[in-house]
Amino acid sequence: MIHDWTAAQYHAHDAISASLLKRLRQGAPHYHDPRPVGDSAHKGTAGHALILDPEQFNNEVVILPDINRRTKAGREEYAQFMEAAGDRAVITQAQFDDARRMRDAVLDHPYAGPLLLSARTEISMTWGDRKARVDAVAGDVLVDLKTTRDAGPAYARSIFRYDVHLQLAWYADALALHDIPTRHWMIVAVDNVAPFGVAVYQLPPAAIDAGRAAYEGALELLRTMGPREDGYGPDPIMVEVPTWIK
Amino acid sequence: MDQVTGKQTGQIAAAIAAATGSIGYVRQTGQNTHHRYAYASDEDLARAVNPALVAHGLAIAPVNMTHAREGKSVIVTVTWEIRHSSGESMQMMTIGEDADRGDGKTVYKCMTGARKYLLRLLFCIATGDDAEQHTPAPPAPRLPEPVIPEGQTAQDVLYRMARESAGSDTDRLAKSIDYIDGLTDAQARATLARKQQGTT
Repeated sequence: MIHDWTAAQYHAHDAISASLLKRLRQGAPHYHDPRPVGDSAHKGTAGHALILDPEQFNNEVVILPDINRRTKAGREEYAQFMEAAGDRAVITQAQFDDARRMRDAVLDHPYAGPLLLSARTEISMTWGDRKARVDAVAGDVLVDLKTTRDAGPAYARSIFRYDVHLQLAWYADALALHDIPTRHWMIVAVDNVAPFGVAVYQLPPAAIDAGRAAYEGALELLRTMGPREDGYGPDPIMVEVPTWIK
Repeated sequence: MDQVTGKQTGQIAAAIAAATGSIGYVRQTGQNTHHRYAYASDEDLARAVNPALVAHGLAIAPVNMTHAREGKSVIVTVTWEIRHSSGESMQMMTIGEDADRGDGKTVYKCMTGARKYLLRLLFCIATGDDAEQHTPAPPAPRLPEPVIPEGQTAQDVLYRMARESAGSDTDRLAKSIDYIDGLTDAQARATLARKQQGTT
């Protein structure tokens, strides 16, 4: 089922998602205790909202005013502000300025700009005990937007290191289930710091197949995992020599 | 990676060349249901290749197999012997790789993959489903042009629409104005075009 959900509504829905499976593949501790969202992630949220869903920006992000927290009055003002912010991502004015530069860089890009401006964005889907929220689909092109420290050619390695291929396979399969088949799978990556460069990466079918195998493996792990384990397991982990070093 | 056994290879080479000529292109009937694309299945290849093997006195058999595991990936290396009715033979080695899904079928899937690639390489079979092949990226879409009265901007038209839509709801109007203020010119033009086409 496709839902007209805000990000908050989507996140509040308890179901298996690509990000949960990615955490699971990092290890049980990441699954049980997700790392707190950091400053750069908040900046990423702001960039995402400005690019993909500007109408929802004020519902998802709030800009911290200049408050002198060294005074008692300032600390009280800050506490009130944070309470009013609720679940929204709190960013500084400097982070907001960076997010706007990310937005301008992406929308000025000759390929990424028209692709995202013509796309259907922020598509929330649920099926069975699973869910997905896809950044953008333009025709048969699935697009995932990534804000990252370095969007340059080195980012291609991060796609597999951080299971982005798993995420895209999950999204592509979710869309196919909802009669939105995709034939091209793209990542629009933008630097979250100067020089705010933008690159568009296209994944081959083999990467999506590998991503699917990865998420199926993670689902199996989820089905078979035992009671909560702290740490990465009691036994020594055998290190295998990768083929590229032999 | 072929290794010819025996000194005489003229007859087996001629038989392979003749088989290659008779097999030609293999039509794809396999379907990836996730992505809805076609691929050449093992059955497609067998259906095309087997008559050519029979016609040209060729037989293929696996003579050695090793497998290795890298994380979740299983890699199977198969050595094949291609024999000809003349007594000449040659060997080739191919690799099959698959992710271990815990269903006990991974090695067999790898062997099937290795056999498919043997046939494709030995008989130069084109199927159009090279796993590494990118589908060319589609061109960047052309954005629809919004209708903007002369002397106005896309934002001006959006402000007017917001006023009309909000009526006496001032909170809603204020939110809409905030939203429109935050749009770039390109976003405003794209938003207006969508609204005018009724797709928003």
